[in-house]
Amino acid sequence: MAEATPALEIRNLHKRYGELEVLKGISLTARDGDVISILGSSGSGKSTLLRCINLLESPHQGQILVAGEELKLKAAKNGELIAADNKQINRMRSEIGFVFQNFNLWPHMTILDNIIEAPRRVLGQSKAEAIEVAEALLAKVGIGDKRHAYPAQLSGGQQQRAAIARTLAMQPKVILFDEPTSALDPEMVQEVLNVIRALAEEGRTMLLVTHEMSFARQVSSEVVFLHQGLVEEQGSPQQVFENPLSARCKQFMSSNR
Amino acid sequence: MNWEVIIKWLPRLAQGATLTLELVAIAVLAGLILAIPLGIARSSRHWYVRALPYGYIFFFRGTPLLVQLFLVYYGLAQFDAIRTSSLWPYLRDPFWCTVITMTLHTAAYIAEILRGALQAIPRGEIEAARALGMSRAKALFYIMLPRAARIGLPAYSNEVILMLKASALASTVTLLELTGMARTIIARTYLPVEIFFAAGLFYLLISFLMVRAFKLLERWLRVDACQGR
Repeated sequence: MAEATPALEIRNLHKRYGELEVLKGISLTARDGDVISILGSSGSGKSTLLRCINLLESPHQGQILVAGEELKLKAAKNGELIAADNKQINRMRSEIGFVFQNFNLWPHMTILDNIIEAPRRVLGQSKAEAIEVAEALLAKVGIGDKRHAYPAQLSGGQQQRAAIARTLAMQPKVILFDEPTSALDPEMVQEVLNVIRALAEEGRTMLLVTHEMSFARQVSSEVVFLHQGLVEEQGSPQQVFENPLSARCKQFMSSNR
Repeated sequence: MNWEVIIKWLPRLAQGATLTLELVAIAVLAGLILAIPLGIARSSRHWYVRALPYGYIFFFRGTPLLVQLFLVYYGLAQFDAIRTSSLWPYLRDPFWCTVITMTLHTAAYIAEILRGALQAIPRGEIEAARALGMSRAKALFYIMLPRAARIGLPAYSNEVILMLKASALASTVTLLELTGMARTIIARTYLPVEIFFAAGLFYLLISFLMVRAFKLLERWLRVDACQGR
């Protein structure tokens, strides 16, 4: 039987900063409903990998496919790969949700305006339509009462939940989380993780860069351990956490209990 | 201090103040409109897009407003092509010469303010817009310009106050705005202290009202709440 088209496929991704090679050929496949956690010590290239997927960073080599559609790339003068088709990259970015470590809400807009902006401008939704969706999403992430507040009036955890709602409003096929709880005070981490857990349970396809080990172990269908720009270990959470094959991964797991 | 003289001439000074307000209002609004494309081009990634506004700004910031005003007011008339053009009724008029010069001058400064504001937007906020699928143009129009307006507003209000005071130069090309009017009155009354004192009070009053107005605008746009994140 033929394999179903994966939601997201990355082939042989390379990225360097000057002489420093950060990603040395990473391949990754996320099928529909997969939750893949990407672990690794700092500097292992986790965030860079995630940012290369929607071209917030330009890779030097590799292929990116979303639901079977290959992102068209061309080489720029400096050797980086950039989008060859602006229309395509904008459309594909709208299909790939991205949640930032620092939320990156727009501080001059209310929470509701933050959420309805992209659906209106990119998907062409009417304001009423976008507001209806946004209010449902805000209720879902538990900050329905904050819709007229401004980002600065919210706690970090609330801001990150608003940012997740902003991403969900685009109805993405895949969601990338770039250390979504690393900028939060400890008491706010759980409320954000609960939202992400709920998304995992409704079967969303997600890639999650995180330092929350126990959380990664609970929600992931697959865990990838990066080391020095390469996939060092890959498998089910149970296997990677309990029986890592590589020495590096063993060491990482034991020091991050 | 001869208060009677001041009170006697107040209506004429108020007349001059009205012309001052007209000059400044037109210049800073037209300058803003002109500065938006200039400032956007100035912050372009491409050197050939940056080059033109750079040259413009270099010229208008690098030379005194008075020199620019004289070049326009006395200089343009040297050219037959201009004297015979349909624009001549405007270009021979000191009011329009001053308005044009002040507009071109302040546009250079406002464009630099806008460039600084655009570049001061935290990178992540722009990345968020692009990551949601907005094109460069949409991100600029819907996210970056509204954001930059808030970052640049305090500097813009400063520029407006500077233009208020720079408008006194219009008196050198025969315009009877506040300073020009004061000098004309002094030529009649020989009371420079009283009249310049009164004119100074008018300038203070106008700038006080402008500062208040910009404060209200800043509060309305929530400028403070957007800073320091």
